[in-house]
Amino acid sequence: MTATYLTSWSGLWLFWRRGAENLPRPYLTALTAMTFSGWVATLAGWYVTEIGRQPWLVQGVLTAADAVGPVAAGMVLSTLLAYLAVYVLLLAAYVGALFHLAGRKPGFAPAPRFVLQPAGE
Amino acid sequence: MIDAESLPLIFASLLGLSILLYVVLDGFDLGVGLLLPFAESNQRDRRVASIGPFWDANETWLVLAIGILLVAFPAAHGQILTALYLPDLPVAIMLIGLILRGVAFEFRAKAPLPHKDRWDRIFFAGSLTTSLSQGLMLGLYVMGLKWGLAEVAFAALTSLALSAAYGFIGAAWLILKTDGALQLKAVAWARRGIWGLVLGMAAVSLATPLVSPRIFAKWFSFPEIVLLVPLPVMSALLIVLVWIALKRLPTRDDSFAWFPFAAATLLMALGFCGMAYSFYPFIVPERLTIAAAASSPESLRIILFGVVCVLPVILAYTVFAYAIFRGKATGLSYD
Repeated sequence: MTATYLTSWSGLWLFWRRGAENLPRPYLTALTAMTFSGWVATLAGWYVTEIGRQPWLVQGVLTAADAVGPVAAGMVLSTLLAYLAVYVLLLAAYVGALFHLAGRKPGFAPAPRFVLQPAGE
Repeated sequence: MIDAESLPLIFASLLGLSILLYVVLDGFDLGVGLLLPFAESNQRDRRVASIGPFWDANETWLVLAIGILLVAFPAAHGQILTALYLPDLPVAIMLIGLILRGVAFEFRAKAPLPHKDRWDRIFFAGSLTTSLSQGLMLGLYVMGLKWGLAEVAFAALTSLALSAAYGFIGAAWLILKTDGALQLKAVAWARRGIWGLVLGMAAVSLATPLVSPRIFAKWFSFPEIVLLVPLPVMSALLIVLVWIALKRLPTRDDSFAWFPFAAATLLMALGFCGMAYSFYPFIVPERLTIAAAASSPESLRIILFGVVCVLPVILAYTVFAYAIFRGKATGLSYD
């Protein structure tokens, strides 16, 4: 978290002092390394909240054990696995598309931009 | 201040309005997704462009409907969604379909070009699973949320019928939003898809009174039947009119291109009114009434305040978006 802020704030300072064209190379490398730090921070925060409030679902009102529905555990597990599988595939596609959009992957045309013309004319 | 008895009814009406708007609005863009594999791939962009500015907002109505069900009728929310979770998981399947469809919509334009066909197939598959699972839920709801053989067979029928009906309203949308060769094809698709709508409405109309003697008595007793006759008569008349229109469309000056879509919307509204009349006062068929499922009047008053603020904004931006992007979808340009 701290590292994320340090990177972004030092970036702002460097940007202000040197302009977009003259950013030092080590800084750009650091930025690349920090690509997924936002995700990691969000997920870590979410984990802490979810685990920290157990056994309560609503603090002092409802426990997680009392809130469980009559759906069989195996059923819940199978849908969870299905969602996980879909998200893993989508994550792979997303990272692939990110690299593609960044122009890293040779052999592909530049990404087409999606433009909708205002209709009526 | 609104009295405690009318609050649940207000929320039931809001819930009904959200579901109806969802079925019509997301119905047409799901339908366009269902029609994607037909015709050449170079026309796909135009079809996707015709729903581009709208599809995302259309799905908001489903979120609003489930939201109202959860906060205003928590008991019904629990019973309905738990019943639909067992054992064929239509809710989970629908959600996966919606996820895939939404993602494919973006990726087909942003991922490497050689992958575009694959994303188009995923867009179609997502639209199909979403439509099929919604039809399945409709059928199960009509049959009283039971999982017997007859109920599931009926739900399989409504599943196919609703998907065909979405295809029909999707084609009707394309008639309105496109021209030339694509419009001509859309007319042909609409002519086939309309049978799905007819089949679905007939199946639900026949099954609902047969499943419940209470609903049978509500429809086939005097004087109610006189007041209710306009519903099926108007539906039949509209279907005949659409059929005639589809034989003549597209017209040279593109007049009446709006008619199939308007008629499809009206047909869905009529069918919805019929269902609402049948199931009233129940929210979980024959098990839980609107009044019994409602949250406490105090909670409902607070939520109503929020609804009164938010709903006009949603309606206003929806009308605004449709007004800006009225007219024909001219194409998807790449620069």
